[in-house]
Amino acid sequence: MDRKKAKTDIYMMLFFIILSLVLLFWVIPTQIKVTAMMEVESFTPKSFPQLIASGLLLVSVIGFVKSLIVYWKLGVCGERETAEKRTAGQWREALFPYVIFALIVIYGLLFKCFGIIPATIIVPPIILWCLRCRKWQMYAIFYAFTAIIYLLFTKILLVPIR
Amino acid sequence: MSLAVLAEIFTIHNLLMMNLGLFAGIVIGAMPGLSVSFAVTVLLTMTIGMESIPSMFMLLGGYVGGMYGGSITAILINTPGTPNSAATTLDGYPLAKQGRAGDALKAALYGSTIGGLISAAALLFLAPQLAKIVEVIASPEMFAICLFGLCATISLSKDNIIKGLISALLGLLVCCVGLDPIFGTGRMIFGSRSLMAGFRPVTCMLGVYALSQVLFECNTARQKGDSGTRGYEISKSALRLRDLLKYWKTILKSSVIGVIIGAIPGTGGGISAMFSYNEARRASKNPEKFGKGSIEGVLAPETGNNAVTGATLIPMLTMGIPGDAVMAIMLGALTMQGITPGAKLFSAGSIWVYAIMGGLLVINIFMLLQGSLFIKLFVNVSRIPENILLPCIVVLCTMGAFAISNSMIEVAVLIVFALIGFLMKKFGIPVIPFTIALVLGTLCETNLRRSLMVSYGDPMILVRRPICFCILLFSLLLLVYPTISKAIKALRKRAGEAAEK
Repeated sequence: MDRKKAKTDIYMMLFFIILSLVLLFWVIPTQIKVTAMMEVESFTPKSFPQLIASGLLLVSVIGFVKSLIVYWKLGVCGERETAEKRTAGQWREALFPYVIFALIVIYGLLFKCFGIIPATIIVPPIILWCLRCRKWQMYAIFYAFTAIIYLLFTKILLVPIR
Repeated sequence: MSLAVLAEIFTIHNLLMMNLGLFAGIVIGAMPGLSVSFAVTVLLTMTIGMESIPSMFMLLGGYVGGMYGGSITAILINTPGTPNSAATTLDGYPLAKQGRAGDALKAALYGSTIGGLISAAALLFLAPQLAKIVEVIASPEMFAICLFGLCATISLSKDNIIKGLISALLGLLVCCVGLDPIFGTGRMIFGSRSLMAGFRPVTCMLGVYALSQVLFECNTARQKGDSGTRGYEISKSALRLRDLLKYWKTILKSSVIGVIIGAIPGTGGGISAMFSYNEARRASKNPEKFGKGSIEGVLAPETGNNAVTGATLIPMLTMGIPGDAVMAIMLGALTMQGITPGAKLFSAGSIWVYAIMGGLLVINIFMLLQGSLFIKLFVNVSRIPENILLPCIVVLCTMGAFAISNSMIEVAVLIVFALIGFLMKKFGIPVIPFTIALVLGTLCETNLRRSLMVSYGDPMILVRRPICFCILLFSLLLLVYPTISKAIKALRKRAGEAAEK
């Protein structure tokens, strides 16, 4: 493991520690109501989520300590974090999945507001374009495929897709 | 009853679904980067609204076909279509380089078919016997078995058990959302009515396996652009079934290895293929030929990985415990159909379970037919550029998620879980324990609570019952074993270094 990865793990474990604390002290107490009748039981509806959240806290703390030790050990061994700057290409590569994700979110929103047909006409071709698809035949194949899938869902599986 | 089962299997609709599933499974399996679980998840979207038997046949077709499909690119371009076919590259690609790609593909097809048939037969004979035992199992033991299934999948993430544990715990937390299974009180629903039913495992898996793959593969697809992969030359095979049956011992051993490994939760085709390959090399009269283009070296891993297909169904159908990600998806599909797997399926006298098991045999025979007739087509389909596939997956997943309950909330859940799946893969958190926990969570909680109710809240009931205690102890060992073995290895290494000094 390199030092950079160990550092990422430290942040990740920290995130899970905070998440489990939020669950234990805010979400579970406020979002699960236990009545007096339920209190009689030794295992209330709160117990299982509490058990899991406590487990998550314990495991993340262990993971946090382990990552800290690895990070420190690698430092002692003389391994330094390379503070190299990302090039424009690397930035593009790192951010590209999030651009596609944003397009998927837009697709979902358009589906909700205007229906599946307008959403499918607009967004997926943009995704195709982003994926450097430049042949018109590919767009034709895509529309043919979606038309078949649409007919399958609406006419055969009888799903009421707008 | 057997006639009724046959009549149930051999309807045109069912046979069509088997073949469609197989075709899609082989095609997806042959595309490098797309896994068998991805194939089954994509097919799942097509089964919404279908009856349970044809939908299960379609999913099983995808599973069996995906297992075999991975071998096509493993042999032709040294890139396993699925991780299960990694061992096939060792001898398959050298054979292709020698101009014997046709022989290697034929050996893979026959090996996969025989392995699949033996596995389906094992399922048919073993599952009803196991169901009889499972029927007398009480809640504490059932809880222990659920926990064992989870621990087995966590133990697969040998490099980082902690991340595997986190993944499983997150899955269990997601399971807690919705109505409490005993009292029916709302849990973590934030006042939303849509969340009262909780997150449907099927939608979550569609996001985590299929849609997240779009985010994960988009950079590769962008780099490749419109260019498909080059065409492949497949030589005509001179091999006959007779030539392959010379290796009957290897085939039989690999099948047995596959059945045993497949029946253990948390394992899978990849492990079975590697074990089978190593065993074949160890027992071979010509071990020096392995790695340089041995037919036996293709036959063994392909038989081994397809021999898990029936065996993984044993714990799923008898106990409702999914052994791997594909079974978790299938369990989600069954739950969606209103079918609860378990020993009762066998004791209730329903032909459903026997139709499914018998159908698996038929699917394997159809695989042999499709593989023999359409191999050139499969090879060419695997050259489709990835950039056209990804938007198709987006549309398919979105329509499929909507169709689950005809509601936009499922689409929202799909998108959120796609991001979760992507981030998990990006930061090295294994996804399989998360999905297994998604389907086992409720079963785990319900059985734990029932056990505690019976014992008036005394958790020692889990320790006092010998079978339950043994399963729990074994589960714990599975978790700590990788850490202990690593520590022992490090100690030995240090001791060796000290002795050298």
